[in-house]
Amino acid sequence: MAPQNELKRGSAELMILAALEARSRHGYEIAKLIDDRSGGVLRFHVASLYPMLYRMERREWIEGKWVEKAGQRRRRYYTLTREGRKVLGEQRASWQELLVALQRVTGISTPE
Amino acid sequence: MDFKAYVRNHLPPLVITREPEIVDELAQHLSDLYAEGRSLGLEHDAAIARAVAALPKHADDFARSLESASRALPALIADRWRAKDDGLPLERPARWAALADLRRDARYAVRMLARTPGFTFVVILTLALGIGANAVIFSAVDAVLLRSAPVADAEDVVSVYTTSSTGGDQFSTSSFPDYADLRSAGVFRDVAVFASIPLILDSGGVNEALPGELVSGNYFDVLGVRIAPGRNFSTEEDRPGSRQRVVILSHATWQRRFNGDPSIVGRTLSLNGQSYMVVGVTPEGFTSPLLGRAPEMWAPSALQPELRPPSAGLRRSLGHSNLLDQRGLRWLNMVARLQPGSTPGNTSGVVNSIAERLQRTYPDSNRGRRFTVVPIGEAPACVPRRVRCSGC
Repeated sequence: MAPQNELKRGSAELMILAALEARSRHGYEIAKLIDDRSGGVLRFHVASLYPMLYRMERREWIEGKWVEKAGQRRRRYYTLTREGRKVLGEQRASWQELLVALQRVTGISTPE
Repeated sequence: MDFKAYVRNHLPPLVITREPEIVDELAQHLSDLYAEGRSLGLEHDAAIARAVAALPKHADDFARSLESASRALPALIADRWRAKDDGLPLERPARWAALADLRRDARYAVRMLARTPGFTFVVILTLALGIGANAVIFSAVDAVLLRSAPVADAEDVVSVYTTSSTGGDQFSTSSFPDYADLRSAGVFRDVAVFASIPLILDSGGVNEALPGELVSGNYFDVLGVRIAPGRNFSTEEDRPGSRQRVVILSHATWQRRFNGDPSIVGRTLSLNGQSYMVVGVTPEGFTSPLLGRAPEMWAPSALQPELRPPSAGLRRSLGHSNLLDQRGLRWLNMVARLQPGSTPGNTSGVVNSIAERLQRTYPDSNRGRRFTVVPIGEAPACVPRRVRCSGC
């Protein structure tokens, strides 16, 4: 995989992990949250969201569980595992480092 | 709005156990998109169109991607692959890391099986039936074909193989001189050799191919097979250089081809264009210590030059057709009868001391070669492909 793709996938994983940090969410909720939080700039398509969720589940970063609520169809909720929380911390730190370095090199500034 | 049927039709069948869950989950996602569309003021049809547009057009690629993600490699391996693709130096994983991966895979497998009890039941049932059927069939083969070989005191009869020079093949065929040395060493009560030969029987102008075997004169004695009617090969008929054309018929052949003619012994048959005299008939049921073989006639090994001649190239290189004095040409199967009280295990050591002596004496042909001794019922000699002529 080219480094560029790896970068994209790394950021997508980070976004999903962050979306699940506060509570469990189902696939649509995760996509919607990322869409909303990024102001529509970052969008997950079904084609990439679910394979990525399954891959992360396989790596035991997240855990999926079917939940049935009265009057609703069952939904699969994803929860951050302990391993996932650890990975989230590591990825945050490394992305933070990268962003700071990018700022220094390119002069890009992040809005406060 | 339920999109399950739509998703099911859109996606090609997924070859993974969680397929129904994936279909459910994607259908739920489309339902959410539909509801979102409606809440944005879209008409029913427009909301449906918006929802289904979320599914990728290339359904095959999408299905492959879902399957691959669901069966993703363990994290450690995946990370190593990625690092390799990116040209990063690979770190050698610690042993415990590989074990942790194994444990994680096992846990995942157990969890997935627990989630699909029906599938798990079918898998266990299939495995149980498969293993059971295998055991039953092997027991039947063992009882019918191996243990019931019409050989006297079959537990005392062993197969003896020569190993390849590198030791890679433990069950290779043997040469006549090696057999003669092993026999004269007296480790076994007696040793015999045999090899398959093609025969052409001329029955009143009609030629018919039938399987035969070339055997040392003591072959039937070693196996404890009594020849009747008739007799075994004589010492003279078995002597290398002898040209006395004689054969022993199988009981089945005697019955089928000659209607059990009581005067068969002494009759002359036309085999491979030459006249051979029938000297005896094997008892009913005897075929061969090799599973799957059913020779119709046996001839003494002294007749090798005309019944199992070497290839034209080898004959040119040797300058003659006699393989019986060629130590480097291994084309014979060996069987032996153990000394009283001996076992294949405690005989192997003595037999291999002879092999070592042969290695020292004949380094060109015997370097690295040893002997393997196994009970006849357990020998891979039961597999006919083992019977081959190396070098001819």
